[in-house]
Amino acid sequence: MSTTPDPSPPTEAAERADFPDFNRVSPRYGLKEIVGMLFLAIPVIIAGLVLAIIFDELTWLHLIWIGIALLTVIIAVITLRQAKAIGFAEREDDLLIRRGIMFHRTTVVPYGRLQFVDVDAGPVDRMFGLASVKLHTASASTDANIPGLPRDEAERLRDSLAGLGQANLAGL
Amino acid sequence: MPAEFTDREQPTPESAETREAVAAPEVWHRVHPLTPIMNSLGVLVVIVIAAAYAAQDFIQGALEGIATGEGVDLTAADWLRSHPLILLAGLGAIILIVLVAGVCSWLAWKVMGYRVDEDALYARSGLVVKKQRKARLDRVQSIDLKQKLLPRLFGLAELVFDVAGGSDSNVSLKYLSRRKAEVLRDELLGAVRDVKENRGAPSAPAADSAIGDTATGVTATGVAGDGPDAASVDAPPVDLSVPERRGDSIGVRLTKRLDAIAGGAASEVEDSLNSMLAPYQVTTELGREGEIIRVPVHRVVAASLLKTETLITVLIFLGLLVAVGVLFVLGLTEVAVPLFFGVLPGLFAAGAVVKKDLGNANFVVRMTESGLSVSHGLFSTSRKVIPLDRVQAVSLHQPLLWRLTGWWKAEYNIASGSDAADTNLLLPVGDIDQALLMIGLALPEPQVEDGVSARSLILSAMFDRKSTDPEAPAAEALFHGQPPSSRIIDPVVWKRRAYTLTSALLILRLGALERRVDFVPHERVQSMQYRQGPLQRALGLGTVAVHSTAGPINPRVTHQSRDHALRFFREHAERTRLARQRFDAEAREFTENHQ
Repeated sequence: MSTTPDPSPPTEAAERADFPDFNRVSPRYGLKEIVGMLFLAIPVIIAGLVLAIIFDELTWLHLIWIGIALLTVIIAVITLRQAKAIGFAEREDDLLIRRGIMFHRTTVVPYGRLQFVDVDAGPVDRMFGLASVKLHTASASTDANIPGLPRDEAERLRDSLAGLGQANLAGL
Repeated sequence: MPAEFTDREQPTPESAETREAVAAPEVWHRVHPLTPIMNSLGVLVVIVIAAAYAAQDFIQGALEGIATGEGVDLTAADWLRSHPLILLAGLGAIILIVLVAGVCSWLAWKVMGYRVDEDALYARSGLVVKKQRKARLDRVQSIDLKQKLLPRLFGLAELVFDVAGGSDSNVSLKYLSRRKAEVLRDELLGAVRDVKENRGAPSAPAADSAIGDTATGVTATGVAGDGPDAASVDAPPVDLSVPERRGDSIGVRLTKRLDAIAGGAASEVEDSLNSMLAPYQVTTELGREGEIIRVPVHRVVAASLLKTETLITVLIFLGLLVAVGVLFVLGLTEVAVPLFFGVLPGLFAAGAVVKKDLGNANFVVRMTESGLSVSHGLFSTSRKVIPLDRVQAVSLHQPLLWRLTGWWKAEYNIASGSDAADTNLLLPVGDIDQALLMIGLALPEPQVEDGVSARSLILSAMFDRKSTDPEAPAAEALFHGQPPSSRIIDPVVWKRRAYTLTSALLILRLGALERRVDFVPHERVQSMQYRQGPLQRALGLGTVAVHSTAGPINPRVTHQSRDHALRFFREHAERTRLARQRFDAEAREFTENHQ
């Protein structure tokens, strides 16, 4: 257990139970999400634009692509805010993950409950050198996913979690 | 060869002798000779249906011919009669097919077999494609005896081994004569117990393997005592003479004691059972073969009819029937008749629901040496042992109309890969005492504080403020209800929904119309989530989900005030951590002292 960085004084149980400082995910994560979204949004906007130009007697057709473009911008802003809200903290006995602003959720996953840890990196992730770490317990409802970590950080986290999980392994 | 097999095929109940036979290497036992036929019965049924289909045209034509007085059109038969060779060839072909099928079945039967050694059970089959499945004894979670309708007619049964691992992890051994299947099952359950006991901690490693098999990062197959921090855990005092833990469910502890008593008098077991269930104030008598609960057929039928689903179906049906009647009276026959026939499928659907419930008729629970054994079924009996050491959460549920009869239903969540919906039943229907008995067996000792008995607390959870228990006011005081601000989100249930904590359990009171109570032992909690949506934020509320394994129970402490929810989240994380530590430390202690 001594290998774990402990962000809070270990003596006071009450303080340890309190939420410690959260680590943020990579600042590139927000950008990556936006790029991923643009891959979908740009072709749609172009298609809308082309349609509007072809049927130029129907001026209201322009509203469609303008609407989609506006929506994209709004979602991009929300995504950036959401990316900033993601935080995780490796505590002595469990991992805390915080997500969401409008719909806030904080998940606590005890190391002793970890079944396995996945590191995923999609094509856009790889473009930005990012990866996401997903924690699995015996419960399907455990929704513990830390997206947008730098690759080496993700791998370090996985190895650290795997070790902690092994050491704290608890019977069901 | 055959002599040897017949010799082997009569396992005697004396376990020493049979264990020796079981341990003998490379001895393949034969399954019942009817097995290949049973396996291909589906094909036979298809052939019969196809033949009926083919003949239907002819029969219909013949009937029409007779009806119209034209006589039966026998041109095909005449043609056959004039070509006797073709007729002969046809007959020959049929005989040949039967012969070939018979020989194939016999050959298939020759290669079918099973073998048991110290580590595993092997089942082999397949003439062309050889198949051999292996069930490692230390991974076997339960052995169920299954009897489908047709094999049952021939007195055959199938043994299904639930092996820890992915979803398709059942090894099934079919078919054996019923008696033999029962003997083999008991024998193998004994062997599984022995193997597991020899491998260290009584339940922890075995339970881990239930889902950890497919793990890649963290493999959960290690023995709990391996951790380097084993020494740093502050271990509570534990009775080392008895391999049972405080966190174990009462049923498990009782089973472990039963094993220690081994063949003791029924009264001794009964005393043990009643003393352990004392907090629930239920007394039970052990019937024949350790029977503790029997749900009669009529109660299952009545309970099924009183279910809300059935009730709604019946109401809709009656409504439509009235509509049909009115239309008929109004003389709109052309509308009424199709409507009437349109209603029929709904009735069949309701029938299907009742039929499914009938599968739970004759639900008998027995306390046996291998655990809580359950058998049920009206037409085909299935038997299984509820793996109490893997129960993750328990719930009580009362559909609206069951209030009239005071019945409850009990279900559980389990840590397992295979989860068919109907296997999660602890009790299909029963009165309060039966329900308390079953959940009492499935849960650890409740350890209620403040001098309130577990029974009063659970009655308050079941009946909220309507509980007539003398201790009800004290018990009610232990519940944390939702704040009035949650009224907007939960207009009906906000007053009933509440949670309470004992030293061992989280108890949730839910559901206003369909009453429901969830129980989650602290050491079984997987992970937790605190969440707050925009509406909740406006009202200053928060919800904490307590994650259990997949199953009918999805426990959540809903809509508490924000601070309360956050405090509960923090404290419960700590509470469950300590409970887990204690639970594992006891197992560790035991293994270390018995090596």
